[in-house]
Amino acid sequence: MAWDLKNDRPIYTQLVEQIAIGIVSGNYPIGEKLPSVRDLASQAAVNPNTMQRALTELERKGLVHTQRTNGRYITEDNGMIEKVRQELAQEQISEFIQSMTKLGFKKTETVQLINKFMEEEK
Amino acid sequence: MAPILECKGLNKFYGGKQALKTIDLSLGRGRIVGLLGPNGSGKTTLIKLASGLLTPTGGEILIDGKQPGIETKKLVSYLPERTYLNDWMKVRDIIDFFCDFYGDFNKEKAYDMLSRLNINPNDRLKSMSKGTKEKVQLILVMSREAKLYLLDEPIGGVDPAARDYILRTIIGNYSEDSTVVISTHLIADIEPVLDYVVFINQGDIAMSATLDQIREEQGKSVDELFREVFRC
Amino acid sequence: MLGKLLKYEIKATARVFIPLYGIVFLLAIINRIFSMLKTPFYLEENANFLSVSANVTITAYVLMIFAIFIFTLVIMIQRFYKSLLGDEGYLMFTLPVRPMEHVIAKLITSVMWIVASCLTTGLSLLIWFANKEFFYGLRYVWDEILELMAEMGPRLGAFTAEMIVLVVLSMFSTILAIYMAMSIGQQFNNHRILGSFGAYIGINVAGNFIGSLLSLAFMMPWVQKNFEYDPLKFLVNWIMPLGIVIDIACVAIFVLVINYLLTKKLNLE
Repeated sequence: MAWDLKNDRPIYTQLVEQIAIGIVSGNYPIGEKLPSVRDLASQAAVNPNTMQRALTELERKGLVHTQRTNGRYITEDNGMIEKVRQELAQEQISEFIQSMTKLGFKKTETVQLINKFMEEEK
Repeated sequence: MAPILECKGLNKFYGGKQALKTIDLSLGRGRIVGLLGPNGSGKTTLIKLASGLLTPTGGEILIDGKQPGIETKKLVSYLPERTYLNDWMKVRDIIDFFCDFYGDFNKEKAYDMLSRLNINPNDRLKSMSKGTKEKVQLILVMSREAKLYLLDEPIGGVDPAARDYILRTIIGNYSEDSTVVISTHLIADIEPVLDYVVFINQGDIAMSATLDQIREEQGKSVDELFREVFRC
Repeated sequence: MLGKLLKYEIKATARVFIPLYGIVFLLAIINRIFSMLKTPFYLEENANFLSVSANVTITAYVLMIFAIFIFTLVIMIQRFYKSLLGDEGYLMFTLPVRPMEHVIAKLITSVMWIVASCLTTGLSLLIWFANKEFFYGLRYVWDEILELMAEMGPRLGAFTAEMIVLVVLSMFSTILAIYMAMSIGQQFNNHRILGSFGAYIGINVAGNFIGSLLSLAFMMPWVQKNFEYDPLKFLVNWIMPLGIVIDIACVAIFVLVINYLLTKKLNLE
């Protein structure tokens, strides 16, 4: 998994997002064990404490759970993953709409553009 | 438990010149701390005081609750900003030397890192480039299982690939009861590895906070903040 | 830890001295071979190849002996200045070792090489010259010494012991004075080498001044009075013990000052 960290936001929130995307996209399959904090931190080249904090946040969200002494596992709750997937989609869309608004497109115009784009893609 | 590094009213003069104003600082265990500041800001002075190469003019500096001495030198693994190895020795000899004097030296780890960075243990330091020498020193320092690592400009002279490996080594070496202090002015490269940041300027601590706290409050990276604060 | 420091110190210096000693022995052997091959050069009418080369190796030998003693001094200074007060000091002073242990390791190693250099010189001369006449001569000198020893009678033991102690102590104090000068020179922010030389001169001037003051005020009248009747007894019972006491005092002062400077006033650039 490629990690892409931006400069303008706290690292841990970006880690939360990216691991969540990893789970939703199946990069980390349902019910599988997550790599250790140290390994994850090393892969992402970030501070282990920061990674720990991100994982705690994911646990709080219910995407990840700790099995005593055994490490962390991805949730087996499909509904949960679906919910996060929807959330992430919402975020992407709202970001996109915002950018389009900045460019001066009305919402209907944007929808038209999307439809046209999809047609051409085919 | 006492903080791993604590300064109480610490100051240092060289002759008439004040290198460190009266500072108070406390660093916890299990952290990777960035000691950031422009050249000549007092970073090296602070690190040398902690490793016992300098004595404070006033106040005190405590390592694990103790003043610098034999006991603290057992806990501290120090990488100076210069090459301190004599060049007639082979890498192998220097590893034995470290093994002899430091009870916490892990020989296997050292040889493993040497082979990762393609350094032949039978080479003499004399025949090495400056960058390779720096790598050898860093390997020696990181092969100890110390409580406090003081790394003065550890990534200054090495190539980007080695820099990456070094940062991963620092992360891989992480343990909950040891703290790594990295002094540098090349912040962007190491920023994600840090969790705590101490800004030092003209011998004084300008700011100390967690990295994400700074990003959250300022909405920019520590590197960008640094460039703003220390704009020439 | 002192043992480990010694091991390392000897290793670091041996790589200079062992080859030097090797060359000296080699030259001594060559000189011996030449001296067996030819009639002495002063009897020779015309210089031939053999005598010319013999003269070259003799000169080389003499120069090497000088070199050995110069190196003994230079390495003694350099091992202290470079490995403790230079960049290597960053490594040495972060080892979990008392600063004084470094000093002692270097002191013992220096004394060892002084003794080794003397032995090498003696041994190489033996290799070169040892033959029947030489041993006759040696025998003669030895007999003289025995005679002298017999004259000294019961005081011989004390004299020898005191002599050895004095020689060792004066080596210690001479070397420590040089170490102390460098430790003082290191306190300056600039011109540290110059500072060290200045300090060394200062130490010697101070030492001479105190010495002559003491001897003028107290010693001379007392020595003159006592030396007249049993000089040997006076030497063994008073003068040499006094010398030992003075040397011990010097060593103690030097050690205290060096220790203070290296623990409390360490000032590595």
